[in-house]
Amino acid sequence: MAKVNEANALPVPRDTVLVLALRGLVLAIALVLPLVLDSYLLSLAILILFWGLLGQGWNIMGGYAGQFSFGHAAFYGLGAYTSTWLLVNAGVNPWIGMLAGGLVAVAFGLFTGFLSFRYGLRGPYFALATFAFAEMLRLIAINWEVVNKSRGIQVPLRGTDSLLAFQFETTKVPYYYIILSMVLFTLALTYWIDHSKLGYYFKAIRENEEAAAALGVDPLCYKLLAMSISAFITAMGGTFYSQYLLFIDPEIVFGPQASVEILLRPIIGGAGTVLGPIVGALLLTPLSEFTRTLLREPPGFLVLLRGHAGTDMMVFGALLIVTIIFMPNGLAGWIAKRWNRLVKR
Amino acid sequence: MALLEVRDVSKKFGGLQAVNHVSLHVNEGEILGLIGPNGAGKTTLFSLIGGYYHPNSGRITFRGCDITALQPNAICQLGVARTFQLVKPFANLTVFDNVMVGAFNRTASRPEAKERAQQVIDFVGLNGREAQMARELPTPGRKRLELARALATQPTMLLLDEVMSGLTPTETATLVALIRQIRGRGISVLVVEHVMRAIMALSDRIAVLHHGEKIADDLPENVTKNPRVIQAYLGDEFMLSEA
Repeated sequence: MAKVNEANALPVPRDTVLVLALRGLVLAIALVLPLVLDSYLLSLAILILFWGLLGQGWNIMGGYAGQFSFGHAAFYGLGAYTSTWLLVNAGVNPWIGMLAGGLVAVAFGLFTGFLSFRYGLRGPYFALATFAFAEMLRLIAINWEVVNKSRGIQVPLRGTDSLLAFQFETTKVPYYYIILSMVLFTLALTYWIDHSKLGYYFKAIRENEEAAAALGVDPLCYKLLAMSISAFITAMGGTFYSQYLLFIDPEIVFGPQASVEILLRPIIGGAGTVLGPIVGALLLTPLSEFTRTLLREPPGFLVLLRGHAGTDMMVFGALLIVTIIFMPNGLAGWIAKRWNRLVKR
Repeated sequence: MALLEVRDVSKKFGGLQAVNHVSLHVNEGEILGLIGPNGAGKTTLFSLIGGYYHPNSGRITFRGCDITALQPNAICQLGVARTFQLVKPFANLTVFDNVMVGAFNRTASRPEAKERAQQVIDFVGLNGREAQMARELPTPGRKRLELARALATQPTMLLLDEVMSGLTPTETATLVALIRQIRGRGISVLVVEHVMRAIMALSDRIAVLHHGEKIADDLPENVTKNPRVIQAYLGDEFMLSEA
């Protein structure tokens, strides 16, 4: 039996003392990090965690349940717009707004998911449908006076820091701890899903829907469940973005660029693994910052690229191709495999 | 009362009458063989019982409960499990996790599901391969995995769609023994099979389909003597020369 347990846990590193120690160490570092980082590096750390959170949201539906979404900007934008609109127009506390945004995103996910799944959209067709739904929301936002059309919405400055109001103007440190808590919470949730009936059913649907149904899995029900969890987490990220940068507009939160950025990190990091989205965010976010800075002041041989935006996306694209070909389980899957081999020896 | 009862069921695909007013039943603890030449409608009938298609007319009941309009997952939860003719393993999951999915049909507890999965894996003889990815299994292993997953859902009735095709005679013999053991545990079995020797040895009773219609339903030894069955398999010329 012991042997089976070990074997069964293959994709996840084994719960050896070593792994536990490693986890503790990483957590400890994450907790004290703001004390040692300067302002630039702190905002980079916040960005890494922020993209990690969005990736985790995408991962539940795209990675575990295998329903590839190309339009997660829909949930992201709904979260951002709901909480911000409520704050500006009705004075609703952003924490409550975050909950409301999550629920709106879940409702939208259930509606669009039911339409897509009920009529049998799978694979690339489903991905295109999600893209279309996100674009639809972007166009509505651009043309709707109630949400200020393409001018976007600004979160009014308060002049004070307040955890209750989810707004800090003199320091970024609280934002770091807020997003860290959100990521840790989602990490625990993903770990639980990965080890429960829910996760097995999600993976079964991803691998073969017909076979899953033959084993008692209700595909429609579990796909909608995956979509709801995914939508809620992603919407929470939307509210965080809005409270952190204090401004949203339709392009930023509903645009295709957001959808692409959300899915890149979990895929390169390892879709369908617990740590994949975080690993992806750790790798790609600094890389993106680096390429952007590099192109602002390019060295001599790259001078022809000066001032051209989007080079980070080109680098990401190349990375994506390499990952899909050489590491189908992403970086996290690849590391887990090496790690297991190393420990076994 | 019969455990599974198919009453006057028909299914049409466009202009093709795949299954034409077929009635059959499976008794508790019985192994019923379903045979017929290629295109006779065996797999269609199978899919109708499993809920993948719904008949144009007729009724299917299981333990007296009407399952005609139910979805595959609901039918599985009621206790009818099936395998696929073209095996459908969860390729990127381990053998153990494949069976775990089936085991979760009757429990939400992971330890319980694990115990159940291990029992079934030992039973079908896949022990030692738990950690292997399903895609790495050779054909006989995949057939066993298909069987293990279905058994893990704890069915009262098992539908086996050509589990023996593509196996060597030795492998077939062990699988026949395995299916007998399954019946010994009180599970009724409906087998669709092309391998005649296997199905003759295995079945308590055999139903024969031809062009979507049932042309015989009898003990194995009688079925082989039935002129309509011989005609269906070997054609008219054979009948003439016999006469």
